[in-house]
Amino acid sequence: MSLRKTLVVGGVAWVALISGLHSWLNLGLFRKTGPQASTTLKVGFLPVT
Amino acid sequence: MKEAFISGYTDATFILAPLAMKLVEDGVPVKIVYLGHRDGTALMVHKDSKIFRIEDLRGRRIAVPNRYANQRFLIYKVLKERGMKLEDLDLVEMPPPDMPAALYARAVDGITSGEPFMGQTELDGYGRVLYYTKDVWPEFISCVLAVRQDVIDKHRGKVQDLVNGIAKSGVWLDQHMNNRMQAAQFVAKGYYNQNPRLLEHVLSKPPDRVKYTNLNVRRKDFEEIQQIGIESGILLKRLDFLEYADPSFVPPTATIEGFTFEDAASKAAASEKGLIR
Repeated sequence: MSLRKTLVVGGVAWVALISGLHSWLNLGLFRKTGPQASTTLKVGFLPVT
Repeated sequence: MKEAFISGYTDATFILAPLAMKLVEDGVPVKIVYLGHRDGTALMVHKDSKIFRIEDLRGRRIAVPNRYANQRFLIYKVLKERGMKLEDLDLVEMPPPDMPAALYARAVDGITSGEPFMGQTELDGYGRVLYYTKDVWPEFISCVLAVRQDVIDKHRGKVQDLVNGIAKSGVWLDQHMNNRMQAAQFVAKGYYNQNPRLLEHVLSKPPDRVKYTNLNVRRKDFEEIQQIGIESGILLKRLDFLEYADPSFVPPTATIEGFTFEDAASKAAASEKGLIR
């Protein structure tokens, strides 16, 4: 494989990996949220009365 | 917490009443369905300070949780009743857990938030109560249970179960001081990560410092909050009560029976301290 082809393939793979991780970890794209995600409600609270 | 709620990470949240109303004003579809408690706030000053009346707060630096906190609304109300304005005070916003240290270091002259942080200054020996909410705004509302509208629409039964649980727990708590002392043990460890002694203090001294009954959502209470919010420039629009509240989960005429609950370990811990009679 030529250097040019290696760089292009490597670059595309890197962008795809980073985009996938960003979508998963930051945007929650593949994560179920809301009441459909579980059988219980997720309730937020602070330790103040 | 607000962002987690808006983004859908949480389905429901206990949130400051004016903040929930502000979210609706900003177009976020949420509804207040129940209250977290009534009263449960104090304004504390340093025990050696020369502040003995609300009028003595003039020119002093007072910490509030944030501009959407009902504690700020409460200060507005008590000042107005005495012919004073918010501008007569130096109000600073501060997270409640930081408030006791700020009062101790005299970085501020007074602090006000929900318990147990106010009670902590009493227990540690440097805080003095200027007022309890029960004395200046009886039946005061601080935290409310807000639920996203899509959750109410799709999972009304679950929301009803949640509200019923809070209502029955509240009745159980207010039934007898023994129940409160028992709750102080497991709530301190399981939820608050605080010394149980602190919760024992705020749940009993005085007994009506915070109340957990009468928590249904009433139009009159919220219209009063909205009026103060508009007068003090925090809320911009006058919304109809039903735009931000859904009182149908516990109607005013509902009769709530408390849980029959006993946690053996907590009861034993409270008994050992002589708190259960």
